[in-house]
Amino acid sequence: MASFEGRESDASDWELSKENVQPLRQGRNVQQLLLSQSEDETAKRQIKEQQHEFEAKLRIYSGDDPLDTWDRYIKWTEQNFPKGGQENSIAKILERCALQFKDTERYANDPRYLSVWLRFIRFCPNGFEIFNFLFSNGIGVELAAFYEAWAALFESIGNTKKADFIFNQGIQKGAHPVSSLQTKHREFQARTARASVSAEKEQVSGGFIPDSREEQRTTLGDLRGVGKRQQAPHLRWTKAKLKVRKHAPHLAMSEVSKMTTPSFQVYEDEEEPKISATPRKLTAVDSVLSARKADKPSDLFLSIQSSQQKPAASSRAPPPVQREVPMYCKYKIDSGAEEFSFEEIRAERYNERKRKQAEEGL
Amino acid sequence: MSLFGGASTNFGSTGVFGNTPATVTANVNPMKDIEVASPPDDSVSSMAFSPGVCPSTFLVAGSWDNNVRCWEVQQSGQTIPKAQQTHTGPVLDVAWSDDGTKVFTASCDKTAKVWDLNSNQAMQVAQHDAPIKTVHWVKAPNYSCVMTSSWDKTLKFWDTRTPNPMMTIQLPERAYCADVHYPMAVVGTAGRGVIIYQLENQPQEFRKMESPLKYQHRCISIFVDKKNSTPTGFALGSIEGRVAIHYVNTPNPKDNFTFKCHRSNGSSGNVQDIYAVNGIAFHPVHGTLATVGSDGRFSFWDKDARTKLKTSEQLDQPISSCAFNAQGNIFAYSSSYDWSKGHEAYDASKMKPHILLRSCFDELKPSQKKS
Repeated sequence: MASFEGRESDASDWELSKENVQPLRQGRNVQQLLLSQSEDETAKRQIKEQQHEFEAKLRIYSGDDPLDTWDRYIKWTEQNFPKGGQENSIAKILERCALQFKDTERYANDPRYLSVWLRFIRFCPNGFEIFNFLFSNGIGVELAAFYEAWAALFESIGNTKKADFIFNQGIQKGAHPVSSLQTKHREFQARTARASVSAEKEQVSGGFIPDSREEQRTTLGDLRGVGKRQQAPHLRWTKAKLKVRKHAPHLAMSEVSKMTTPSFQVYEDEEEPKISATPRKLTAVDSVLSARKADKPSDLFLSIQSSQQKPAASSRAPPPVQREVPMYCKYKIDSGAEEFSFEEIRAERYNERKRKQAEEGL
Repeated sequence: MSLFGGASTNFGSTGVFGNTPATVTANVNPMKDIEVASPPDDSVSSMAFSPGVCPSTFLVAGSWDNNVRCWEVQQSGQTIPKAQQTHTGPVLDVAWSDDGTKVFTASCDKTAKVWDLNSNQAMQVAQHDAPIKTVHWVKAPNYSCVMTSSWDKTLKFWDTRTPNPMMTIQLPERAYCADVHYPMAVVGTAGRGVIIYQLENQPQEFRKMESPLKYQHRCISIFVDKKNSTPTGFALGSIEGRVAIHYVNTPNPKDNFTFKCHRSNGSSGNVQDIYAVNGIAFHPVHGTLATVGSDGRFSFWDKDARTKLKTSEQLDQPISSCAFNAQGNIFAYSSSYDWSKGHEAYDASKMKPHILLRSCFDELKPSQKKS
């Protein structure tokens, strides 16, 4: 009877908070979900303690598979911080993990490592940039999941041509397991075929209207990269731009941007916005805002950017600013979602050794 | 003739250790200072000199070898090991009582102890749920107690006679560094937190403030007003070669500033290597300060003139801690591994800790240049 009551109160807790829980592809452990939703202080502390334990393990691991600890920590975090957002630092943990092993060759085509990247990409606005980075660095290029995710991203923005290309590339490379990739490819082909047939049908029945729908979607859609380097397109709603559109009313934005050599003169604003003219007062406000945003251009993005800029760097003059290199084990200090001090890491190691000695003594 | 003695003593020309520099290699002791006899077997975490009320000078040092050692430092420069006490875990901090009869020690074994030097007895005075990072003695007119801060995210105050704390204050994060100078206490935490406490009548939070630094807090030291000797601010050192000078109540925000330290130009041009600041100590007479870093150097600074007074040659190991004696004529610094490059860089056979004593009174005189 008592146990039933307990379950009932758990269930009501769940009813109160379920809309906050983000779905997970692999599902959730009910026990842990209830624990994580609970307002109970001891439960909260328990979670905090477990997290701290994981954080410590990340830093003192000395075996030959450090990714294993990360993998377990990430899975644990997904289960225990189901709400997403600030309190969970899953994006940060994924990023740190991705960054830490990006040069570790034997993890390059480890499905666990790739899944870290693929999960991280969901938090990123510039997924294409990251896929390009992974591809050029050979991370995940032997795995079918890599091409599936990449193609899906292209498909999601309606670039079926590119998605098809990615599928073919993966199959050509024999990405493992090819059978899965081929199945996904066939499904994709069926989808696009169906979509194009239905679009044709609509065009026949709807006359000249469907084109406007296409345009609207583009206007409100995501900013998408243009050309090989995935640069941002110039979307300016000036009069000049509108005039161009009048001349070519049937071209959707996506098609215009795909053209490599435009047949018309691209209008460019003559007046550069003068930043120096910004009144001083604003800069004070700015610093407050920028302090909060400081997290955004993370180490990972910087490293991605720098790796992409490498070929161009030789032609440019070296930057005049002195580069600062921390001479301590920064990757250990900032490993997971928390920071550790040298002494904490040393103490964890000390305790670990003592524990082992005690075990051996028994 | 005393080696540390007066300000005008000609250092090194006399004294029993006049010949020692010839026997040690330059990297271990490039500044040719006096080595303390029988140093700890493992890294030195913290050091403290006895207060001025003691008739002679004593130095205590806590170590990762779980021991706390005490030496008598004679005016000749000779050091005599006096006694030692043991914890069941590495010792992270040491502090003296105001009367110089007791030493307090904080350890990774989650306890703090009081060590009565007269009887050479040690007794537990504090207990936390995690290693205790700092310990300080608080002497107020109406009470006295031991203050401990820990990685269990609490700050506790202990009457040395009862097993329960007089007061427990929750910290936002794990404590990384702290300092006490009655009536002020300050704690630096993980997550770049700084909390100032006022100790009058009873300890209470005075202000939580935003960190003036961008990176992890590592060491903190309170400084006093030159005229009336009351605490007015603190110096906070970070893991990335920078120290912030911060006044607690200043009408002019320009009084607060940060400065770079413990950096060196890397092997290739345009690169600057940055090291952690491991310790900050203020000179008891001049009000100038010393910093020590992972780069194996110590530097002396004049915060009022905003100038550097001196930087040492580079030692072969990081400098993990430092302290001035009460008269301000001895600067002690410990060369030992600070774990700044993790366990991978640790080689116990090559990294023998040393504690060095420097005659420093003149070198820390404020800058004569106009600020």
